Amino acid sequence: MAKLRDILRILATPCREATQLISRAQDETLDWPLRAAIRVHTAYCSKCRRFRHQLQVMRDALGGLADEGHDGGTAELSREARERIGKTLHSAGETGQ
Amino acid sequence: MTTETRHNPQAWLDHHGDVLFRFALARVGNSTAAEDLVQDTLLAALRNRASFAERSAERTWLVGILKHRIADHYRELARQLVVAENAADEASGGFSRGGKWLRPPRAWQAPDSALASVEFAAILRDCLAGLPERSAAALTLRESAGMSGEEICKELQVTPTHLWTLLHRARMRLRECLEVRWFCGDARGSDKRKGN
Repeated sequence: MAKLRDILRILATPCREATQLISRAQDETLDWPLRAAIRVHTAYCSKCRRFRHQLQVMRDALGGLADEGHDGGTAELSREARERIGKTLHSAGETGQ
Repeated sequence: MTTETRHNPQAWLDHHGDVLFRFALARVGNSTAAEDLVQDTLLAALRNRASFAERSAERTWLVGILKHRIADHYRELARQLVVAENAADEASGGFSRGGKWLRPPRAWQAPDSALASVEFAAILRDCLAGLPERSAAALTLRESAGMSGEEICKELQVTPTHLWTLLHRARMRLRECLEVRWFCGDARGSDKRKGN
C-alpha cells in the first residue's frame, strides 16, 4: 500500500520539482512514487509536458553533436587553429632540442 | 612511415589533428577547449617522443596522451567549481516561490528541421559554451559521449546528487537559450528560418 504521504506528494508536485524529476528520469530509472508523480503532473500540466518533450529534442540534438565528433564526423580544426598549433609546435621543437 | 615523420610534430598535426580534435570536441563540447587540448597533446608528445613505443600505432599513442589531457581538463574544472556554481544558483531559479514556471516553455517550431540544420548546430554549441563549464561538461558527457551517470561521477569527481543538479541546471539553461535563440526567436530568427 502506498503511504498517504506519497499520494499527497504525487498530487501536489509543483512544476519546479516536476521538472527536476523529468530531468532525472532521463538519467536513471526512478522509484514508482516518483514516476507516478511525473505521470500525474504531466497529465494535467501542459507546460511540463512541453518541457519533457523539449528535453527529448535536446537529447537528439546533443547526440547529433557526438556523431560530428566521432571518426567519420565532420568537425575539423579551423585553419586558424591549425596554423596557431603548428607555430607553437615549431617553436617548442626548436627550443626543446 | 619513416622514423623521421614519426618524430615530426607537424606531420602529427597534418595526419591526426582532425581526429584528435573530434575526439576532444565530443568530450568537452567546446571547440576552443578542444583546440587547446590538441595543442597540449602534441606538445606533450613532442616532449615524450623518446618514450613512443615502436610497436604501438602513432594515432593510438596520441589519443592516449589526449585522454590524459582531457582528464586533467576535468580536474581543472572541478577546482573551479564553487565560484561558478554559486553564481549559477541565483540564475537557476525560473520558478515562483510556490514552484510555478515564471517563463513557461513556449511551443518549439519545427524541431525536426532544426536537428538537420547546420545553423542550429552552431547555435547549440554556442548555447553550450555559455553554460557554466562543469554543467556543460556533465551534459556533454551524458548526451554526446553517452556515458552513464556512474561513469560521469567518477570522471568529474562528484556525488550522484550533485550530478543530477548539474545536469538539471544545464538542461534548464540550454532549453532557455535554444528557445530564445532558435525556436522562438525574434523577427530576425524567423526570417532566418524562412530563408532556409
